[in-house]
Amino acid sequence: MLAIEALTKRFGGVVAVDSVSFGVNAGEVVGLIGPNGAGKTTVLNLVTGFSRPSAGKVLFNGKEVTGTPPYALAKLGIVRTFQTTSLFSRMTVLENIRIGTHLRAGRRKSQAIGAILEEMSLAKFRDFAANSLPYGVQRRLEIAVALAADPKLLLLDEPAAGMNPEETHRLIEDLKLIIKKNITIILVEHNMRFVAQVCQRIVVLHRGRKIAEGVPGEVLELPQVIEIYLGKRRYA
Amino acid sequence: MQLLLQSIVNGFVDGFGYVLMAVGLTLVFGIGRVINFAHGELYTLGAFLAVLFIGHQFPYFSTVFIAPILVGLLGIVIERFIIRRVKKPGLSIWAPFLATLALLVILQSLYLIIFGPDPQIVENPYAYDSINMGFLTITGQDLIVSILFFVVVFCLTWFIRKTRYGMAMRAVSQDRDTSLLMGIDIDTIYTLTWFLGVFLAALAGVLVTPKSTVDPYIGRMPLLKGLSIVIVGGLGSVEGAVVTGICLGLIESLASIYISPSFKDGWGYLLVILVLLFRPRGLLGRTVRRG
Amino acid sequence: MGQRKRVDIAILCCLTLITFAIPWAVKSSFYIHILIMSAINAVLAIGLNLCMGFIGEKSLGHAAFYGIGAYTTAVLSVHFGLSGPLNLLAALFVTLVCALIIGIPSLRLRGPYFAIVTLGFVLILQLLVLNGGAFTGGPMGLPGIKRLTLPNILTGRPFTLSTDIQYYYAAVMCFWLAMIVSIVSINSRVGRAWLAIRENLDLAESVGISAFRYKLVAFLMGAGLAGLAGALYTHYTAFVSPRIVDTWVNVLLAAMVIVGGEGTLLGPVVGAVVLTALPEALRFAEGYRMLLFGVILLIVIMFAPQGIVGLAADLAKRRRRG
Repeated sequence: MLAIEALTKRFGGVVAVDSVSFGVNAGEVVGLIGPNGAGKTTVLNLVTGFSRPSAGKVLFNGKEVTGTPPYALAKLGIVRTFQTTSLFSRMTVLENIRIGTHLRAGRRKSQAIGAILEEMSLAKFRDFAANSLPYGVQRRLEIAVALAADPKLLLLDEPAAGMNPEETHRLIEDLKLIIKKNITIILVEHNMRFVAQVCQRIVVLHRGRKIAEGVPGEVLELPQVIEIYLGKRRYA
Repeated sequence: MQLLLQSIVNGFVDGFGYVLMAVGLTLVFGIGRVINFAHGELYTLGAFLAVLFIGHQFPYFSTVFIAPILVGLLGIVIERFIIRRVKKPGLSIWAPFLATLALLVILQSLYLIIFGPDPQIVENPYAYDSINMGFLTITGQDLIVSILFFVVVFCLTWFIRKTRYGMAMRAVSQDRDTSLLMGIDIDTIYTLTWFLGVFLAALAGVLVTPKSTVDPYIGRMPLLKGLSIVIVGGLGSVEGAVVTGICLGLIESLASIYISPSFKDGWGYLLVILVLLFRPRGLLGRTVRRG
Repeated sequence: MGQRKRVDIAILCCLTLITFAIPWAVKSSFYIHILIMSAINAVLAIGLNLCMGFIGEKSLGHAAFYGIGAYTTAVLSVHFGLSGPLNLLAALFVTLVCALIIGIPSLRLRGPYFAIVTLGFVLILQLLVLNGGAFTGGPMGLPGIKRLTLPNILTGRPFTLSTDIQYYYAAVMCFWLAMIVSIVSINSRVGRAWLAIRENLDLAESVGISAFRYKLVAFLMGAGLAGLAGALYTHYTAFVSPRIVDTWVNVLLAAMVIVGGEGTLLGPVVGAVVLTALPEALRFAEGYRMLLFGVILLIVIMFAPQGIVGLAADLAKRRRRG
């Protein structure tokens, strides 16, 4: 579904992303991991149009979409969430989701809003202002807004950041729901346990370069991967 | 040929004045993150003070130093009591910008009330002494402006590069939070920046007075040209302001001879629009745009 | 329907009644003139509010569209003899085209850059107008503009607006047009997109809202309204001069929006009325008027940035809670 070829991003003298290539098939859940500064969020920004690549290509279902702005990608079905909590803070939960459905037409809009409120268990927070919600609920709302835009490919930027085990468990349930809707997911994450549980395949970045790719069980055992996370436990 | 040389010289002199305005603006923006729309009115104040002092038989050279210092003190007052108050996080980021706009109105109306709308003239003994080199005429005032320009630029550069306060200013312009963490007293730096910026504007005003009349509205053009220069040269870049300011002076001078005398003031805006369309970062600046 | 909506509708109804009934109560032509100018300024402020308050881009060039509308009408009237609805439409058209030309490159720029570029366009326009010779009347302006002639829908015969009261009603119609445009767009999908862009631009983009396109829409709408206001003004005063495109007018308009309360529906209206009527009523010398104006603006910015309407809304909210 998504193919990234030799994607590169330079900021002045620094090469944040160095000729990274990988692909994602429809229906997969792929994790993009690596230590801080590895370039994960930059890759995300490049794919979702928030940053222009210095070189390389991004292909979506065979069509080149390199450098397409975010709103156009959303129309194609590519939607993302952000690393730091990003909501329409002064608006209510309902209004947030409604804006998410901006691209949908007429009656399908209200149906979608209702459905998402139910599925994401946000119905009881319907008229609350987004910035009055507890952290875990805010993160859930972010995903709800992204879902409202009817994505085919969803890119999540550190969705589990700052979550306690209960919230993380809830997040995994939400992800399972999303998978059931046939939405492809790319996940940028730090939390190894989370990634190992949820992703079918992972791509490891270090200092802007891809250093490994494959099934979590195998990749996380590779010496070069363990080395960049010196000090972390092995995950079976 | 003579015309060309003369207009080049005039262009440079005008450019020096523009640079003084622009550097003040760019310092206040680069360090204080505020676009001071009242900058032109402080230029006007410098000019009016010059009119007052010289009208009361003050020597010209003292005026050139004292008037800008006085206006600079006003700059400190503005920074401490108005700008600082509207920079609070609760208010919109536009508040300082709008506040300076309000200041523009207040100051200009005060000048109207106090000095009246009629143009006033300053008697300056040097304005008409000119060195006539046969193919070139340089007035005494031009020389004064040029010499002072170089002195100011030299001092400013030395100050920013070699003194502790200067380095602190550079630090704050690059990264405010880190500067705070390193123990730099940001408030003092802001105040100092405003003093310097306003001082330069008033100096430009004083230097211009002998060559032309003074009325409450003279600040408008210098402000707009200063803004144009700062944008083209890069918001926050002193070198950019210097280079662009001089270039603008030259362009205006040459264009009014060879292209059109009545569009003289428009070149600055045209330049701004062109640069912003094709190179939004300005020639030497470092701020980024987003659609 | 929420309580707030009911209050809003009540206010609008009262406003409708007031604006249409005023000529029965007020007969002095001096006050009618103030009211006409208030209405015209309200149209301008409403247009600017769409740009400033709703999408957050401070435009310092709004007066340019006012001037373009005014001058187009003037030129068509004086040089080509047009003075009917065609003239108004032409003014609108020219203004929109200019707004496209100015808006498309400028709206890609951020905050202060956008403000300064729009300012630059105003200045260039002013230079063009000043140097337009006989075509634009140069610095002395263009006199002798014909009065507005409109077709009478009932009898089919055209009638010419010539009394102040007639122009008052024309201005009121224009005002309500602006209000309707404003209300409809704010409550539509477009309006929600604007709010989204204002609250969180990146998030809005990520769900398919093109910030640039919606900003352009707001910009064009504001410009169109300003152009229309300019055309009406020209027919009313039968004269146009370069002072219309002065930077000062821009500051005045921005002040109306801010003092009234940007981002609100009634804010620009309140601001326009207050800042048009107050200086006239005070009848100070120009310097003192400006001073008062600047002081009010500064006080509002420093202590009540939500503007009059915003302040009122906050007080109402506090009373409801306590």
